[in-house]
Amino acid sequence: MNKWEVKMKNEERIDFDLSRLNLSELIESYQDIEDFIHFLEEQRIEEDDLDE
Amino acid sequence: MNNFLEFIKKDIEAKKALVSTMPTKTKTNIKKLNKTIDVIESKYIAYKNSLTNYLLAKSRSFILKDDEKNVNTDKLNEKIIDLEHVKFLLNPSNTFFEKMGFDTLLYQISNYTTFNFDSLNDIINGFLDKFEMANILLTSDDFNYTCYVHEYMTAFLEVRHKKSKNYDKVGEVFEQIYWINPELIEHIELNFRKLIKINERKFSNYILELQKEAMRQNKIENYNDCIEKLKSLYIDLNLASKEAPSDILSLARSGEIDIEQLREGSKARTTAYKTLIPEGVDIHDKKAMDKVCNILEKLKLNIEEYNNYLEFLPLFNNFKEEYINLVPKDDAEVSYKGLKEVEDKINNLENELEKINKKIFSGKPGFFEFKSDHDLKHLKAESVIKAKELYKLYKSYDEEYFKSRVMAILSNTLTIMDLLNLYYSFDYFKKLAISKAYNTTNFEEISKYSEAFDLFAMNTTNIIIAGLPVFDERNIAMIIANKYNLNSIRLTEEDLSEDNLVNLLNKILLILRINKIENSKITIEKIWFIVQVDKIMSNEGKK
Repeated sequence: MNKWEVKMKNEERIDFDLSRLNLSELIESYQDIEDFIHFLEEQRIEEDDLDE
Repeated sequence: MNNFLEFIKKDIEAKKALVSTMPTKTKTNIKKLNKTIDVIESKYIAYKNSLTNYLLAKSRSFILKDDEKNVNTDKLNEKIIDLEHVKFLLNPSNTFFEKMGFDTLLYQISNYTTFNFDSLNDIINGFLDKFEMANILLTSDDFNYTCYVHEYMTAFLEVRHKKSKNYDKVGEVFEQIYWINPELIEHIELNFRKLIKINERKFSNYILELQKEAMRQNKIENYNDCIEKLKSLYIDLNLASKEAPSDILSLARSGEIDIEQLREGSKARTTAYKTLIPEGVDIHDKKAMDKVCNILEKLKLNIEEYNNYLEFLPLFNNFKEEYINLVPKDDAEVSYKGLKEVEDKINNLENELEKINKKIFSGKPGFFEFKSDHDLKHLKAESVIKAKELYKLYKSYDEEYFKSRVMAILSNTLTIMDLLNLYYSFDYFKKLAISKAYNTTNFEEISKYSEAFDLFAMNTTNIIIAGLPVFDERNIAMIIANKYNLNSIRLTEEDLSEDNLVNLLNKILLILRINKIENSKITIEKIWFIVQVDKIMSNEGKK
């Protein structure tokens, strides 16, 4: 396990309390997540197209 | 770290840095990159799912219900529809002719070029239905205006009596006659006009019975009683149907209003407050703002009325141009004989036509039978020429008929409200006037104007036009601005110019809506949130 994998495992244990966020923050959270998922998709590289 | 937003902001930043710096030179590198992306993405999809469920639940908890309001307005609307019908029947300005809706049918048949053959049959059936309502059963013998009208209506009535919907045979008869007598439809119209005239008493009695029954059912004493009851119902309806927070929420959700504009700090909100809230009023003082909003509610009604007035200004100007020289001076009585003169001409010519028709229908030009087909043809042609002349005379009759109604009320003190009532009472002439004022012959366009006009005429909250003289220039924009300047609302004539009116109305609506929401259980932020969640859900649904 590298340090990132350890960090991710730790994060999974965090229990977020969404009720602490106000309405604007809730929408902002959704938008940030949505944008980030989009970013990740763009970073992905097709494996079949590449030679070793 | 407990704040989810803070956490994801930092986490996203870090993970973006990680993903962007991962090596991608070899296939192994790429596999590792994609695997990392998979892990991060699945985690964020899980975050998104939890968050979406939370957003939806929260949004639903804010949604308002307003079923009671709808029940109330539905009941009031039903009562108003009933009383509007009584008002229509009791209207003292018009006669059985308009109350039976003959003027509307005549307008339709005189615009027959706009319709197809089926629509023409519907109009003819419309006339026949109205006769039957008054217990007048017409036969083909009643349609003797010309021999061609007789031929067509005989075929028509045969199909109608069979209750058949197939008018193909009638179409064939029409086709045969049309090439000899292209004015056939106009002559059918004249035949109906004559039959209405003959049966005037029966129609008047029928309307009288309807009036009695409607008054009894609705517990109405007379026309004025009906108007008073309607006024009070409209006041109740206006109160019951005032925009509620749930309405504002619906408008925001459907996208008809932009909820962003209602939020604190928005440019639209700042400008609206700056323009319309009197200096020295603290916008956070609820009592002071309620007082300002009461005034703005009235201003809103005045602007809507003024906007309607401007829309129909060409119609009012047209009337003014046509009648300004006929206004009686110094209370002098004007003797008006125009209608009687045309009526006499029509009666004379119809008598002449009847004589010709008798010869045609009996097959005898005099004491002897026709010597040849030529004599019959000649008589038929003569009858068509007379009918054509009569059609022109009936058009003058229409003009004189309306003129006689105008002359009965024409004076220097005639108000826009009087004019609204006049045109509202005479649908046929209203449509002719619209056609003239807006320079259009488009049937749909005219009908649209006519409907909007009726709504304006029926509106009991009209206040400006009640005292507005038709024949006198008044600067209404200035009058409205001065009135509200007295209430410290800073308005200029420029704000009330035709181009700026919608903009001004939107500013007023914005302030009223903010006030309405601030006086309710919901907040602007909650409405904004519901709208955002709607968008998110719609977006998620599309994926």
